[in-house]
Amino acid sequence: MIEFAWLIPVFPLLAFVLLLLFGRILKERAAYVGIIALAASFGTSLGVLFERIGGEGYKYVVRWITFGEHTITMGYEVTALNAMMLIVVTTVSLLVHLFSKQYMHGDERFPVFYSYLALFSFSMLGLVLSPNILQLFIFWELVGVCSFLLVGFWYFKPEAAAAAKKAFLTTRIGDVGLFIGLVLTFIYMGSFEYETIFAAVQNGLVEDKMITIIALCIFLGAVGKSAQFPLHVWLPDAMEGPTPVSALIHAATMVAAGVYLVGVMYPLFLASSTAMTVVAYTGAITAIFAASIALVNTDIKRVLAYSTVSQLGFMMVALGTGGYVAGLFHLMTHAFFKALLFLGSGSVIYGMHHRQDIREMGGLWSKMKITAITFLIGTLAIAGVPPFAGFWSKEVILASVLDSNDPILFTIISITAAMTAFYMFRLFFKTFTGKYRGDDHLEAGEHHHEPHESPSVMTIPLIVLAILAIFAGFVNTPFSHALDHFLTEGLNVGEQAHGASWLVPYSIAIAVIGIFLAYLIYYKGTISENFFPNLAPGVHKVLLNKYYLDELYLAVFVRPVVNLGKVLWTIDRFIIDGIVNLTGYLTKGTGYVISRRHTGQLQTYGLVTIIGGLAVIALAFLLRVRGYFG
Amino acid sequence: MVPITLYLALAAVLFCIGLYGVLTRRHLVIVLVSVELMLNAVNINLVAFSSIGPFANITGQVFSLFVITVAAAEAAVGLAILIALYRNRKSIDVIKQDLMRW
Amino acid sequence: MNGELIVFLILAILAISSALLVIVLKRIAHRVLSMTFTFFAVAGIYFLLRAEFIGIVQIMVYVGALSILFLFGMMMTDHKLASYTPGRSLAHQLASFVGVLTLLYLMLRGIFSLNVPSSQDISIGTADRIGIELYSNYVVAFEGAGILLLAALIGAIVLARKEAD
Repeated sequence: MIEFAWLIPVFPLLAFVLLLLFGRILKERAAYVGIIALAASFGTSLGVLFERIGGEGYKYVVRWITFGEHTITMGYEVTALNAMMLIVVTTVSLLVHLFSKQYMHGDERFPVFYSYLALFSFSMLGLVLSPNILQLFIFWELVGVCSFLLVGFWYFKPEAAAAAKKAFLTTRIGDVGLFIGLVLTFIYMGSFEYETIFAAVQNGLVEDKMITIIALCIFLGAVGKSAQFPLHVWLPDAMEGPTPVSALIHAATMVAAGVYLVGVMYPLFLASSTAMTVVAYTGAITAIFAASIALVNTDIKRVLAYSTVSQLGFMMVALGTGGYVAGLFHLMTHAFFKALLFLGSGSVIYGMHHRQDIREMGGLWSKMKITAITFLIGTLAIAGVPPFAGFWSKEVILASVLDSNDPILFTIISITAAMTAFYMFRLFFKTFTGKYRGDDHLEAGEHHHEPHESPSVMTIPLIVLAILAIFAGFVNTPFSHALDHFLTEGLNVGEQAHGASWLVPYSIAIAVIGIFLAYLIYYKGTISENFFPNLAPGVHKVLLNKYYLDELYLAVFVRPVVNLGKVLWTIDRFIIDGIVNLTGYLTKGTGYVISRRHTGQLQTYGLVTIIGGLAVIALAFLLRVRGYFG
Repeated sequence: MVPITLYLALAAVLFCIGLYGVLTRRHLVIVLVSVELMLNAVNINLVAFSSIGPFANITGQVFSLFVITVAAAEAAVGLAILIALYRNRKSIDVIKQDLMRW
Repeated sequence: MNGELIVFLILAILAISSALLVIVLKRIAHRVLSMTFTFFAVAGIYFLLRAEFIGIVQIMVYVGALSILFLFGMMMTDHKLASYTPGRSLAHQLASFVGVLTLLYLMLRGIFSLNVPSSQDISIGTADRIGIELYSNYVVAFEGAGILLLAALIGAIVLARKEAD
């Protein structure tokens, strides 16, 4: 089975090609093509995983380019890490394919949407299966393109078009870093193969300083893709895309690619303590930063987006403090519960007739039972309440941070965990409890829309994901370290922290504090919603405006570049074009002057011909005298 | 016995007179006449080499026969063009025939 | 100084002087007549070179046919002198003169510096030799010349006749 792993990305690719060719004919039946392809991939992935658990990895490569003594290969590889990733990606992707069938129903470009989804699945699976970092980079860029296409799927909305552009350009900064890292890797280690790179690092063939630089460059790629501070600005805007896309790409899979990249290159990072510190602190800053914005945001999808950014920060912190398994474990659990939350929000938005502001929701518990329950499960999971998946992964992250003996990081992570619980429950209470506020803001002429439960094709994915969000955490608990052994077996990723016994009650306490506060404010109303904003209006305003980072970037990067572009345009318009025009006029003028000599007088022509001929003869004589003709 | 160089010199002189006529006369008939002069100069060369050249051979005379043929045809067509031109432009002044300018 | 050279010189002087007259004379008819003399002299040169057939053809074609043709051409067009009197500009004439003279100088210098041995036995260009040559080696060219003459004949008629509206 494991040798057929290459089939996993091929199924979605086939689906993509089919939809590209026959999308117009298939119309909404296109969904079945995608679903069947992903189901096949999922089945294969399951087989691969089970075989991998009991056995060895598998690697198959063919020579692609040989130059000098270097060989670049292409192929596929099954390791413990990517066997896990395959499951995550195919599961979420399959469920999103199912969910979209209803969510995208009636969209004019329905088959196109499915073809993009299939292409994305192919790219992501290809990325995961890559046996070397160059191939990973190729799929990395493909994934970026798919993200661009899907964020801008509703390109007729100016916000969506702008968001797609922003996402593409922002991640590009990171990609350039990654590319530089790749080039440096090849220069200093002579190969793109993981084993060769790690061997070179371990045998001390490369200077420490250079290892740090390479690691930081590669991390820059991860920062862009995983929306880490300061390149996180694209992810909240990317929520302009269809909600299933947000669930698949911008929560569960693609944004996790950055974390995956760090995971894959982990031995390289381990070799440089500076790089590790940078990773940890970037993650920590991102985590608390995004969480604080999520506290006040009112758009259901954006809250989830900031929470994604924050959770990705958690993973980075874990990786940065040596918690290899912790980071990747959280990556897996997060993929499930965040996909659940996003699909849940999609279900809510669908039920609310495409309204996303949580101030207009409320009281949906009774109207959308299944969505509400599954959403609650997701919320509990992300808040870190046992026994849900998020609790176990967050606990190991805390253990890992504690193990690194850095009180600042530990404080930040603890506070962020509490904030996570708070804003998620704020979201939950505002959406599902209390009174329905959807009619409060009805403008004249607008009809009352009764929110309704989504059809089963949408709720089934929710239920499946809810089950995963409950049980996925059990693969790695303080009582059994199954994932730990699975992932670290045969890999040199350092000792994994397992935490003190007081960490379990500690992390529960953190979560409960957050939840209780949210309960008091948004359910009971004991504390007014305006209490904290009134307490520190300045802070509230800064948070509402996302720390003015967009404005800052606009002022510092975008405007100068645009102005530079205008200046250059002016130069191009007047100076470069001027030169070109001048050349044109000059040629034209010369042509005019010479054409006036074209008098039609045959005898003049004859005379000129004779004089010219004589001149040639004279020249020949002259050159002969000079010795040119011997 | 006349040396061949004298024949060649005569041909050169005739050729140059013809050329000068072509370049300076304004009457188209005279221009055509001058062209005939130049062709004759060429023929003298051909016949001279054919008769007393280093490789005396009848071929030169056959060639000069062809040149005469072509010259006759050229004169006929040239004069026909001249007449058509005169009918259309009321002049055969070379200076005025400048339709093909810029 | 043998007799042949004397005949050559007489013919050469006749040819050159009448060629000059073609350029110099005022009246068109005089010029055409002068041209006829040149052709005659050239025919004489041919006879001197023992190219009898070419000489006869020269007299028949040039003296007999072309001169008459040119006279007709002259008569059917503008033969009054008035419109041609100023001639080309002096600069043009001078430049042409100098250019042609230089060319002549170069050619003569080349000719006289040439060391061409004249063959002693003059090959006689009789009609039968030329005829045999024409109908054996040059038969294709000969037929081509025939076609050319036919084309010229038709072309001349088409060009010269009045356009029938």
